[in-house]
Amino acid sequence: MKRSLEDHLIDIVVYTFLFLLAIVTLYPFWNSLVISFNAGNDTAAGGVTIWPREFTLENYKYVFKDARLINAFWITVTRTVAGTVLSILFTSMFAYAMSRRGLIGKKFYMILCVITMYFSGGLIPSYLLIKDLHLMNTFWVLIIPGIISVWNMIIFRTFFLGLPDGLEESARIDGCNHINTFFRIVLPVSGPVIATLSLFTAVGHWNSWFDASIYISNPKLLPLQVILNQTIQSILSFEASTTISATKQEFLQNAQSVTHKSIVMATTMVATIPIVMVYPFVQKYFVKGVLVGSLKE
Amino acid sequence: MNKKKWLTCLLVTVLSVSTLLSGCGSDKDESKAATENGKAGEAASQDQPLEFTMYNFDDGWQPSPWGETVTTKWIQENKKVNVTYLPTNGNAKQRFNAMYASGELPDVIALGPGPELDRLISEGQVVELDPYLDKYPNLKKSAGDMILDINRSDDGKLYLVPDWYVGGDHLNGNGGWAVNRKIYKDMGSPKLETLTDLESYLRAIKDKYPNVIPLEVGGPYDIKMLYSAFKENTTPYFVSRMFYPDGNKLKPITEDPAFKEFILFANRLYRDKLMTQDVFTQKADQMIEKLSQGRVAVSLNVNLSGRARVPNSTLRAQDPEAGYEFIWPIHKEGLDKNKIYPNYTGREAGGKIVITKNAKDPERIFAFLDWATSDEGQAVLFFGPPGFLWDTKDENGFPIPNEKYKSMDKAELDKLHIADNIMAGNATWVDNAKVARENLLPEEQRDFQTTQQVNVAWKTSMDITAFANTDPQGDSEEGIILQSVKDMFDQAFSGMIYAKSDAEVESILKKANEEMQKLGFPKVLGVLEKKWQQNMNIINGK
Amino acid sequence: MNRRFIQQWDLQIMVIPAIIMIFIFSYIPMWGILTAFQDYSPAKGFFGSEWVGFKHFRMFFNAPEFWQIMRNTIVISLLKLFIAFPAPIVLALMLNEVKNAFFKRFVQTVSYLPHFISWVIVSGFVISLLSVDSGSVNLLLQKLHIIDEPVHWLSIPEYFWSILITSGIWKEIGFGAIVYLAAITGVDPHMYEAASIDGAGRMRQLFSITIPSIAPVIIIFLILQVAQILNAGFEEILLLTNQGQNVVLRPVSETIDTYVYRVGIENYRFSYATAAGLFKGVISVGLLVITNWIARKLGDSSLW
Repeated sequence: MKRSLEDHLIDIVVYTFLFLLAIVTLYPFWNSLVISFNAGNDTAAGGVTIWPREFTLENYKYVFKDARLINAFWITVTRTVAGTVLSILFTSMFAYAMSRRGLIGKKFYMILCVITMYFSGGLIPSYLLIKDLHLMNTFWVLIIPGIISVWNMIIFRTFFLGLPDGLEESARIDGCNHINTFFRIVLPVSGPVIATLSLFTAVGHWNSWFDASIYISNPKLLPLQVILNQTIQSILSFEASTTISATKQEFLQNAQSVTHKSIVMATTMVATIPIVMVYPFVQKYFVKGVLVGSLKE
Repeated sequence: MNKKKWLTCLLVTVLSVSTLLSGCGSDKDESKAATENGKAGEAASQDQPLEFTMYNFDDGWQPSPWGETVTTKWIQENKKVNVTYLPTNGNAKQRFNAMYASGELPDVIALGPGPELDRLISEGQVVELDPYLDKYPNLKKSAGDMILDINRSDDGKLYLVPDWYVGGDHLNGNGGWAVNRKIYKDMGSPKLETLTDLESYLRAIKDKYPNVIPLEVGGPYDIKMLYSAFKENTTPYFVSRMFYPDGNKLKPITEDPAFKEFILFANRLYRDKLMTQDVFTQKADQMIEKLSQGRVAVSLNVNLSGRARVPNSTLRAQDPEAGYEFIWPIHKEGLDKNKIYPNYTGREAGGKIVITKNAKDPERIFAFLDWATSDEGQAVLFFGPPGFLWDTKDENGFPIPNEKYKSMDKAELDKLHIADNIMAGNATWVDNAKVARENLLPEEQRDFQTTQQVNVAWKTSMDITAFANTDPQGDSEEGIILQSVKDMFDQAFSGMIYAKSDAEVESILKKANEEMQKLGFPKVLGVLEKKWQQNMNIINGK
Repeated sequence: MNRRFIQQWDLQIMVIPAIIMIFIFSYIPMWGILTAFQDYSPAKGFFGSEWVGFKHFRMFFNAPEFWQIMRNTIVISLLKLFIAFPAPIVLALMLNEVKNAFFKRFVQTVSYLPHFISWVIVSGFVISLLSVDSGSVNLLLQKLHIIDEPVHWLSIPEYFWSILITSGIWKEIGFGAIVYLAAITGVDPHMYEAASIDGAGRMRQLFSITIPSIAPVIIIFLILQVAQILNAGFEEILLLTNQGQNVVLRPVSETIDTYVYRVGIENYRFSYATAAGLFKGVISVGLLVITNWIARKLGDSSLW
């Protein structure tokens, strides 16, 4: 194929931009990684950028020895896997049904869903509900309330609407009901959208901390982000308020002095790298040639 | 038309159903709480260990789990007390609100003054402590009647145990002025006492050392510390509160001539780049970085003794002549230097511990807190159990560190989390005990923070106990006015610092003063005045 | 009606459990919305709190900062819409043009890393970069002689929106592009072959094939984004203004959410916060309906 001037120009622009973007997005992550391998007191003096000045594994030793953290890691992993699988399964099923023309009550269901995206009763009513359902302080409170995601449902549905009618028809002729059709025919061709939304959902589960922080008191059930968030907060609140007695301020400061920037970075890395690694695996499901494009003919 | 009606019906149905269901939820809990209050009288038998839940209202720090440290194990075995901490998970406020709404408050809550405490008291959720004060006398002995009385609510009853109260004559404080020793020596150790001295020193620094920050303050509050230099017997606290006492009245700070001088001076320092230009945007660790690199000539900060500690040891390790050292607070010419107060102390205590109506045995809990706050209890909670890091006490009752303590390095010591579970802190006792411990060491080995506190910070702190509990409730009329005034003042303050000329500063100040009147601040001040005078009566023993 | 309902039992069974879940977890708690019309106190509970009608709404609309807050919220959201929304699309299109598989994978993976770092750390980073005393940006610009004196980036209100949007794009561009990349892989490769045989250059192919093919995806996300217009990024604004302490930026940084957080939640003015939230919800739903209707008229995409 002839390489025109246009081709070259595009290549230059694209490659330069992407290269700069890569550096700009990689650097802070790299910097955090470097700091996590740098001795804490040295980090506080500032100036550590692209290579550790005082290399140490102490920070990671501290993190991995913390039984709380190891436990939280497994909670997060379990929650992410279970939560994502269940959510994608039920939400996609829901969305498929919502995409079938003859569904009775479709408009009603849809409005019901959309309203929940913008109106919510707030923290206290939800808390009371969770309490009444006896989900408080259990592992399942991290999963069950979020099983149906309206956002995902809308996206799934849009995708399903775009599938050719022929697909469904041939299945119906063979005598399948909608449930069978969904599992045997529709799911297998929905690779990209399932992969994408699974990734989003998994990331959501992995990063969430608010629900756990409110509903869970048992330290053995706390997910990773809650621990990480607390670690970070301990650095932020170094700026003790002026209403605290000076002696208490000194006491708090001493109690927190073990947690410095390097530890925060090490914890961040442990909390972040696993989920970052997921995408490259998911990538292979975005296979060329599968219908994603032609939505709603 | 059909659709609209239908949608409205839907909306109404949904809301009514959920409201009905909500009734099922919360009502059940309210009735449950009522019956449990009745049971509170049936105290657990004295032989059984005391168990209670506790909530430390702090996002940045949580105590170590009970029973996992040397200190708490000892208390479990010897005092038969078991505390179950309810974690805040970094979300203290929201968790608290949720627990409160569901009627599931923990037995004990350690918090500070603020809307939550006000609510707990005004809505009758906490136990009154007066019946126990004489039976368990340590609190009364350590804190004194004045502090307890000042913590009483409007109905005259005491609902809380002060945490980190400052009794007796002791005053605490962590802040002040410090100089970079090396730079100071290189500049010929000039006199650095008055504002004029300070300004000429800073200008000389700027000329000679282009890479050094003449005056590093940290954040906006620390600029306010400069105010203490302009008047005797005043303190930066008043700038934060936006008022100052004039005789028996409280006036808006914008009317204070000393404030005007202060803000003009501060503006000039900032304008002429003698003050750090990052003051409104930086975080603590940025300031510490600069201190560690020796790039600061003079520093002023509310927690300078703490922040400069590690930078000081870092610099001194490289050069014994380097590091930081506190100087006596800077003041205007002609003022008595012993009446200059960059720090302030509220004896009433920054922390408050309450026992909620959910507690099954409030009396036993109070007995425990009373032990905790006694000299004996503080010794255990702060220094560890007897026989571990200390064996005997000196003539003042302060533990003497033993060989084991002396031979431990800091990292090991930190891992023990010895003092992590302290409660009902007696700040005076802790501070004095700390000093006693340091005094056993030769001077060069003593902790930086403690020496600076003893030499300067504690001597330059003003007693502002009279202003305890003078914050109106957030959703009261005064509270709402106060919020608008605060917003306006914060903006005006930063505007004045950023102003490009003296005239601009003065015009912003004038406008702020007018706004204060317009927003209704004098009304708020009237209410605060009354409380202030009441406190004064308590302090003077009327 | 009933007979038809039972006839499609297989469909309804896929729907009803989901609706029940939504009812339980989203609708039962909805009574909380009504607390906007009360002086709600958690201790008194729903039935014990006093009803005050529109008091909190009136207070909110009459607050002196109301117009400023609305302006900031809308401007920031519009900036996000016009600049931050297209950014991942542009990135996806660019990535699509890269032939070198390794480079493509590398840039993709690296560019989504910022999404995973919390705003707490990112904002600390930004603040430190833009610092006057020791920030890299100022140092670099001074070395290149573009400026003489360091610039007070985070103290000048005019720069705040740019800083906010730029850091937002930086954080989300890579992750946002994933969806569009997935959509692009779905485009029939035969179309490209046919087009290049017809002599169309790469730019032409981009505009005539790629973009129209992924247009439906873009539109769906666009509709969802427009309805978010009143959510202007609470966490990042709070952190970039140093927990609200950087007061000089308030005239441009205060949005509905930061205002409610400061005045409502911090001061325990529950109902006030709920009222503001309800206001937001109503406007958002309105916008959603309007945008969806427009999209439906113009093309064929619709949320329902």
